[in-house]
Amino acid sequence: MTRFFELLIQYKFLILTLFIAVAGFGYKAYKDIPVDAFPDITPKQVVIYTESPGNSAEDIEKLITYPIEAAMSGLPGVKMILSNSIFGLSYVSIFFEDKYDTYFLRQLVTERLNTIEIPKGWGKPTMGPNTTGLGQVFWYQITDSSHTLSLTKLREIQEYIVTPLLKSVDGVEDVIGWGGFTKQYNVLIDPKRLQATNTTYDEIVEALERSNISAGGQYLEFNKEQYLIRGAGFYQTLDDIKNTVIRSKDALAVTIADVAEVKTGKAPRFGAVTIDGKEAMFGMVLQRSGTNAAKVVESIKKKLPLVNAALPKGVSIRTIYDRTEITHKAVSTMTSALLTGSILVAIVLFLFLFELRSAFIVILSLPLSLLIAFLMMQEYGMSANLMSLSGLAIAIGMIVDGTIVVVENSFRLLHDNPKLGRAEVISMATAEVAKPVIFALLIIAVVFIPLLSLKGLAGKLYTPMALDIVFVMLGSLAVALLLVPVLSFMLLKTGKHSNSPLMNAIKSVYTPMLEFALKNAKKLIIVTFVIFGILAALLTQQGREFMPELNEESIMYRVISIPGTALGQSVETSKAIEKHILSHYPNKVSSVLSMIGRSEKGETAQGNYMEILLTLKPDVKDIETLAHRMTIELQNSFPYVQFIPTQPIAMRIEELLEGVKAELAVKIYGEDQKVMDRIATQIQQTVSGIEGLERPEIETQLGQAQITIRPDYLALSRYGINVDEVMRVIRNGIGEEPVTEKIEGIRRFGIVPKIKGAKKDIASIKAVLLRSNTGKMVRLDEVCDIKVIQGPSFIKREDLSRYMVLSMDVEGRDIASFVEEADAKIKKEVNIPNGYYIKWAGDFKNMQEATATLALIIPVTLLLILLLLYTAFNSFKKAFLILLGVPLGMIGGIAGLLISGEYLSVSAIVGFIAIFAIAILNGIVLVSFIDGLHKKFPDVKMPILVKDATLLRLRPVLMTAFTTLFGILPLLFATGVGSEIQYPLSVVVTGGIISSTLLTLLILPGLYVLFFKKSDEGHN
Amino acid sequence: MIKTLLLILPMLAFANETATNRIIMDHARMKPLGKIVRTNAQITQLSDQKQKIVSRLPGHVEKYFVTTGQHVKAGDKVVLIESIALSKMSADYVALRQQAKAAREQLATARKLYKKGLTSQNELNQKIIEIEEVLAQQSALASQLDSLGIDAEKLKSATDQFILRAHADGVVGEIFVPLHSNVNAEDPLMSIVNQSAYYAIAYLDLNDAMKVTPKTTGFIRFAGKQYPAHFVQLLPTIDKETQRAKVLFMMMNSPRNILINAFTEMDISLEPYRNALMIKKSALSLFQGEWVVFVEAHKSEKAHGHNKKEEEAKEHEEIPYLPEVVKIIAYYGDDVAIEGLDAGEAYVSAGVYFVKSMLLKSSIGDGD
Repeated sequence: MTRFFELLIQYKFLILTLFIAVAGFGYKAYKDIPVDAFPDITPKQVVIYTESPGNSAEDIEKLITYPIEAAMSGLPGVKMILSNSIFGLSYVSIFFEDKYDTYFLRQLVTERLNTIEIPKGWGKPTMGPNTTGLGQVFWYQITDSSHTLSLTKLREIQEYIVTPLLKSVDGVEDVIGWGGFTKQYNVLIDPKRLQATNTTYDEIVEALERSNISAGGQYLEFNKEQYLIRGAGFYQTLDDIKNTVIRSKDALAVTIADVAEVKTGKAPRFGAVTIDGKEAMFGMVLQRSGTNAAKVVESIKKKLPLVNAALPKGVSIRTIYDRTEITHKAVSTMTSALLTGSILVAIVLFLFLFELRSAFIVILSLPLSLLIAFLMMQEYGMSANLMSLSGLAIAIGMIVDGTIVVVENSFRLLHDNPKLGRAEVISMATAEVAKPVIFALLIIAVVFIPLLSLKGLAGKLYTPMALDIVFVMLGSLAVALLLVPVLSFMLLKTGKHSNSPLMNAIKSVYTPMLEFALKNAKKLIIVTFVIFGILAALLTQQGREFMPELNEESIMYRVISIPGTALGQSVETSKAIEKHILSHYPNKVSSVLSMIGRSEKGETAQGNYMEILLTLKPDVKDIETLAHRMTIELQNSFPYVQFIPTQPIAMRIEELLEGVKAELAVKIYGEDQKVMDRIATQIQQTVSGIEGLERPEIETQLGQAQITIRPDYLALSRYGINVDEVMRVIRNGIGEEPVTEKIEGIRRFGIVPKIKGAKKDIASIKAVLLRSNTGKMVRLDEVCDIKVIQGPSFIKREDLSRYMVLSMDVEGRDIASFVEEADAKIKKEVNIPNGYYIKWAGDFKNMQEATATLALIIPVTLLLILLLLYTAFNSFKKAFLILLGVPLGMIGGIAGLLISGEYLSVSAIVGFIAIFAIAILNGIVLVSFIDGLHKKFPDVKMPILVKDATLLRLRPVLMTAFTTLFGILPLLFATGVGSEIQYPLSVVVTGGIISSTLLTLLILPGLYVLFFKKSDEGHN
Repeated sequence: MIKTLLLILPMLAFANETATNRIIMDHARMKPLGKIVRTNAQITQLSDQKQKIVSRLPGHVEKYFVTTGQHVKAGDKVVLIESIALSKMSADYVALRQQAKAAREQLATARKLYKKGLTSQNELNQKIIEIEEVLAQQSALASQLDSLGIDAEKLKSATDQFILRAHADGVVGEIFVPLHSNVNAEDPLMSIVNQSAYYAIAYLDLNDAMKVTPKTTGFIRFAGKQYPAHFVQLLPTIDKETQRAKVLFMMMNSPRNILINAFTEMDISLEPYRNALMIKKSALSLFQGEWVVFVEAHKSEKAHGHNKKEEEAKEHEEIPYLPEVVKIIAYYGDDVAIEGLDAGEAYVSAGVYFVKSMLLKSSIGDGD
């Protein structure tokens, strides 16, 4: 072993060069690494959406959603299939096991899609864009400063100029337009004219379809040259449509103009966008999954001048939201924490060592380890984000531990053996501590392994963090054992041993305390463990949450009106809300954006749903208070809608939580929505008496008014009209589905044979005139049974079964016990018919799963650590003694959590894991040293030996403790974006370090004495 | 200064724009339920068509203004009849008009008293109902008088003098009833022969055709102009091709430049066939699968006293409206005839969406 380190020192320049190279590459990696706010937490998911204009939720479920679900359920690796059928759209989302490659899965889905048969005219299933849940990286508005262009025109610009240009940017999967109107050509048919001209509706449709065609006629050779022949029959002008011949007789023709007016119009729409009280044309750029958000946004921004140049005069692209802003904010919160941490650690080191050269070596190990970690991150394709960087920030104090031990030992031995050769002494010193250093760093790495076992969202969030800690620990190990001996050889001096004044001060306080502690060891130990017991009991009462909310420094609302609300009404509402906000908060808010309903690419929001994003003025402080006040004020001013505060990224994450957003929910599965509604109501009544229940709400799926037109076959036969003619009138004449397209360059606009005046009210629909081909004229309500009923506004399904959600919150008690009680009560009191069943779900489920995994993995890890400790000390007793130090750390952690009032979240749990490592490290340092002393002076009485050892070891123990503490302090006091996610963690770690260090220094010596008194006596 | 004003004004406007301000109340009213049917009509010309002048009231033929063979134009006076029936009708009408005036004054007094708290809401409602009834009777009579060509509005006192006029241009053909003889309603008095009258055949669906009476009138739209027409005959056979009933209307004031066989559009006003309770169409809302109208919560309790409603009212204490299920009978322009409310009952006629939203808000859920 010593030989190895001697060799290192011999080839010192090679080692130096190697590390300089590593540092260089590490720096390059640091510069190149993809930067993102969050790790990619999107589950492996493929979305299939089918636009089926005008059709109802029930029909779409039967004819589109179910066949797709059935076909997809047999695919390999399918975890879950969720679907939502709404008016005009089927949305099926297939969740796969994470191990598969996205492109492979998409290919599997494509193959299956081809086997699905969907009735003609009911739409074509399409795969959703290959983007992540956080893929909406860039939002913009198309503005028109000349105020002359209509929303229809702006929409055209979006679709045919902006989208193609932005889509060509590398890393852009899709560009989605939202708002404005799509132009269409309306052929407004006056049914009464049908009698005069002796035509039927079908004849008009056929005439339109028949006339709008072109043909290629190959070529003609004429005078040795080639002339292409081309039949150009596409409609050129509106007059072409008007002059379309329906039928001709005796040199006279009935044309479209005889039965209809031809006008430009607007297609029916399902979404709109308003900005600052006016309707606007809005767009979103989706990032392809696996690309770097920051780079994509950068490329988009580079392309913008080109896009603007291509737009008509006065029209330009205005950026509304750009993912990199939050990313930069989050990353800078973390990097500044890292930087401050490093500086604090350096100061602490200097104060303790009071010697510049050794302090320099230790401090140098900091950036080097970090750069090695970056190199490895790049190697494994990880991105620099909130979670991975916070891993580095947590580890920063621990990075230096190995180096400290090596340098300190070298320093001491050099001092003690001035006669020996420097290389020899340093090699010896390094070899002496190599084993404990390796073990200690291995233990730290092992402690974080349980995090790697987390599944689902928790896994995706915390795996990068754990990996990063492991990386940086490995880096620090390499630095400590390879570079530090070389640097020590080159820099350390065999000079005088200066004592740090800080150390002296601490020692003078500590010595009497230690003496007291050793005297009253038993009492103190009992008191400590009683306190631990009480705190642990209190911890189980602490509220739990999956993840603290990320503060994105923005205000956003989801605003929901009653089901069935018309889009037009929602537009009115959003305009009123925007004007209200702008007039009431003129100093705080610069702009308000509302996205209503859905854009064209397969989202399931309806006209009653909107998302409102506020752009705040740059100098606004204390956003949280403002948001809180605004929520209450808005809710009072607009009592007819519901405001749910959220934030741009948080909202997307919520959507990824696989279905249910509430903390706790009961899902009711079954067939008939009315029955499910009844069961939900019964459950709501049953659980309402149970203690702790708050806000039980049934997500109502009914409430969409429908006008059903059911053909009356007897009446139809009387008039000689076919059902398909009626349905055609409903689909095209009333539902405005185009029958052909007018082609204008690359642009295409639907031509719609619309029935004039049909869509005024219910009476006007009833009065739509039909004419059979034999000439019979009849009103729609004479041949059809027309009823107005209330139907489902959406139908949600999970794994091929319909379900309904009853969501609730639990306050003041443990959710698990609540679920147990409620479940028993429901089983006893609610009659659930055959074919219906319930399941508990919600955010708590994620937490439960994560806790369950941890409950299994942590004991295994404990065993592993015990094994490592045993290997190191060759004694189970000592290994156990060191593990006993863990509760000592926990005390501070729990106290910190309780005092700060933070909930027990996964973040806090990670904090406890970190304490675990710290407590064990503290224990190792002390126990191994007492051991060493014991070997050297086997005759000294145990209490005296322990006291001396503890006093001698005070410096390294305090140093490792203080470096870790000061490393993490910046996280505790950070205020920027993302800080709140790591706050519970830093609270726990800070508390833990303080208690662990104090108690290690006071209780552990006593424990040691108690543990080994007997063996000591036996020895004597 | 002006700038600040400009800034403040829109802010004030927004401040007022709250949901509750957009809720408007109205009272359900009894109104004659009629119907305007828009349909196809074809213009035709029937030569030597005889037009019979019919005594539309029982009475005594007092004077003939024309003699046989005389040319008449549409609207020319032809016969004067003295009718006891008309005298009674016009006397009734004049009396009703005075009654209505008095009732209105009483209502105004009652309103003032109500505002001062000297009378109950119930009494006020009673007054409103009374006045509605009088008005309904009055308007029924007015429309009857109107169909006789008498302008009820101008009627100052009772009259028994009823003048019949020629419907169209033509020549007086025959006089059937001697002067000073008594006639019954529907008795033909004379015929006027029209050598070239224009007619329109309206194609009506069978239900509407059965509601056509001799008093039915309509307007024919042709080339951007409207021509009045009156009912002549419901043709005995229906149109085989279109399976619609054919109703013959004669165009008054023979138009120039009209084209025979042209298909045109015609509005036919079918007579009010009953009085019905009408509310504004904007008051309707589909609530839990049924058509409802929102009424004030406390009033509805007083009026009906149903226990169930009281419970519901407690449930939504802060919302002062309740859904009342109604049955739709017919749509009529902006109004709709319903059953399920009381005459004079106050209902929400605009801003229904906001009332419904507030009632249903607890079930909105968290979206998605």
